[in-house]
Amino acid sequence: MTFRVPGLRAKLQSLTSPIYRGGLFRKYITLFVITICVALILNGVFGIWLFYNEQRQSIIRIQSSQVQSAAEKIAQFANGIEVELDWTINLPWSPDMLDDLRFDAQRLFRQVPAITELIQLDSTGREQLRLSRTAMDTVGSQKDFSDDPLFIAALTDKVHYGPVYYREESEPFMILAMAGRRRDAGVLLAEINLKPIWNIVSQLDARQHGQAYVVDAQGRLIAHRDISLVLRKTDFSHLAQVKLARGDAYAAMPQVAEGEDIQSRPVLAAYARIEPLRWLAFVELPKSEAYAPLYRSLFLSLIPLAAGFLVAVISGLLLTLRMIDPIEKLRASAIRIGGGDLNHRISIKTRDGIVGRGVQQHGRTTPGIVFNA
Amino acid sequence: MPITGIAFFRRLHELGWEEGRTVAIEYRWAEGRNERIAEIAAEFVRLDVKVIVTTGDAVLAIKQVTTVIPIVFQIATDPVGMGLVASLARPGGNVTGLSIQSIDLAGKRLEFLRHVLPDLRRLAIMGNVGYPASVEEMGQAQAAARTLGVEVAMAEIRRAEDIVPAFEALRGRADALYVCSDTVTNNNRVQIATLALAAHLPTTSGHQIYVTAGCLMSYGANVLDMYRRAAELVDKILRGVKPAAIPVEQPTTFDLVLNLITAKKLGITVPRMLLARANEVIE
Repeated sequence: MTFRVPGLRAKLQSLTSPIYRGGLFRKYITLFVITICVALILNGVFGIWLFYNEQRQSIIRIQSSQVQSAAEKIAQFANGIEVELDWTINLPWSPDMLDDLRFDAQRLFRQVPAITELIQLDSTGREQLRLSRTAMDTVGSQKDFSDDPLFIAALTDKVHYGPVYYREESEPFMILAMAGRRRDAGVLLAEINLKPIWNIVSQLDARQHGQAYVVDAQGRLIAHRDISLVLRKTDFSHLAQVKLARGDAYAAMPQVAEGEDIQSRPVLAAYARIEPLRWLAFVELPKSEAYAPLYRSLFLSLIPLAAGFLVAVISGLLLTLRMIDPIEKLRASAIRIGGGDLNHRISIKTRDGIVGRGVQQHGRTTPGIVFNA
Repeated sequence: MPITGIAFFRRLHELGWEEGRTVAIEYRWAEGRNERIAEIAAEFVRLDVKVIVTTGDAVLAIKQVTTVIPIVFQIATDPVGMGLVASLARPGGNVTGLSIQSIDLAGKRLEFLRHVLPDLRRLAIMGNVGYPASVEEMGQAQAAARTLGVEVAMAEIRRAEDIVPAFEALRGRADALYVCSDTVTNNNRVQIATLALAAHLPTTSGHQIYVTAGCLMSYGANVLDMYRRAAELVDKILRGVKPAAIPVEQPTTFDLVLNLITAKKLGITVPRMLLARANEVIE
């Protein structure tokens, strides 16, 4: 459809005429612009909503798989130590196996750098052998561990992970207690340095923008890319996502929560429980980063909206001008006919069906008017 | 450059700090003299350096000159006790680094030595008595020997020229040698290893560079790891992190290193148990 606008300037000047100043023109153009813009906005909003959901789902998917992989790797770290310890504790404890045990322990120290100390307790909970990475070995101290919660828990659960503690108020450690398959094998206590978990978390971080970290059952930080936070014994238990995760019975499967990181930035946090340690792994992404593609696409969708608005205004203006012209002529003729000049000839050049028809209908009731529409 | 320095600079390079291009490095050598340390520190303040890297024993002297320029110590025996930092977790001032605090390995070294020499009766302990950390280690080794019922002969030195007379004085008084590492002994480790072999003294220490020089064995924190880690702390500081916010770290890896060539020369059989434990074996 093409618009021919002869004498546009004159027409624009005539916009000051009563009909243009009146409500019809304004109503017509407003309606036109609103119709087009509503369509554009609805389309834009729907598109953004779809994209937002898609983006959110994809972030959740990625974070969930990352947190699951982190949880599995840390569980593997613990499991690896369990496996190594298992074969040193499969025989009943007796003094004549001291040398065998010592030999196994040397191998264990070599194999698992995270183990810092090993204590062999007999079935009554008396210390028979203490081997350390840093101190001299002690044989047969008979120190009583029978009331120690670790010894008791190991006898009932076979494998028990003790609480995390911080040496010199800084480096995180934990004791793994393992009972032999037979009760007379006693219990082996292994002190484990948790700093190596830092490597697992850092490797995970290298492949993503977000932050991975691990907290213990109390919500205290055990591993984080920024090891300084760990060595300062940072408490994460006040974070909303940590609170939520600690209370979540189904956290064995990765879940996603919204919260704030320790710098109080809003984040999307995926978490998963690390069994059997009862720790929690988190992968956190600041919302600003997570939704950056969304904001970009939001901004981009504003461009067609603005362009659409402009086109709507211009085409509305032109259409209205074309429509107002015949109406204006009709109005002038009507005044002349009303004044008694029945030979007056109305000349309207238009291909617009509506105006043409309207004029024809008008002509039918007013003989003497000649149309050339 | 010592091997520790190479480890440090290599890690720094890996982190994007290339000397002459992204970072300028000023090297100074204090020759083990405290007044020289203060002079160097004053010069560094004039140069307005961004960070000073040193070992633990020089930190106090530097701290007296500046409380603003960050100081990283690559290794310190007792940073809290010496007053270098307020605590390991929160150093507080302008100093941070790596600590071997509360890790007394002298007993462990003697224990390993006894696996090789079950009949060990007399032990010689050599160290620089002008260096406080060595004096402390000599005391620890002496205490450990007493626990094991081993007699001790002290070989006190202060400079390189004291080493030969010290070995002469030990003749016939010891079955093995424990060397406390410091700059003087480190720099003369080849001479120490040669003299020890000639005197038929199996030698242990805390530093694997002695084993590569020909001593029998060493057990200690992986010092190269610590120097690499120190480079990472320097990287953090150059990128704007305040030293007060960087906790002092402790080593996590301890290596047993054996020299089987030396064992053979000494006519010693290294037991299976030690071979199973060794992180590195020189054959």
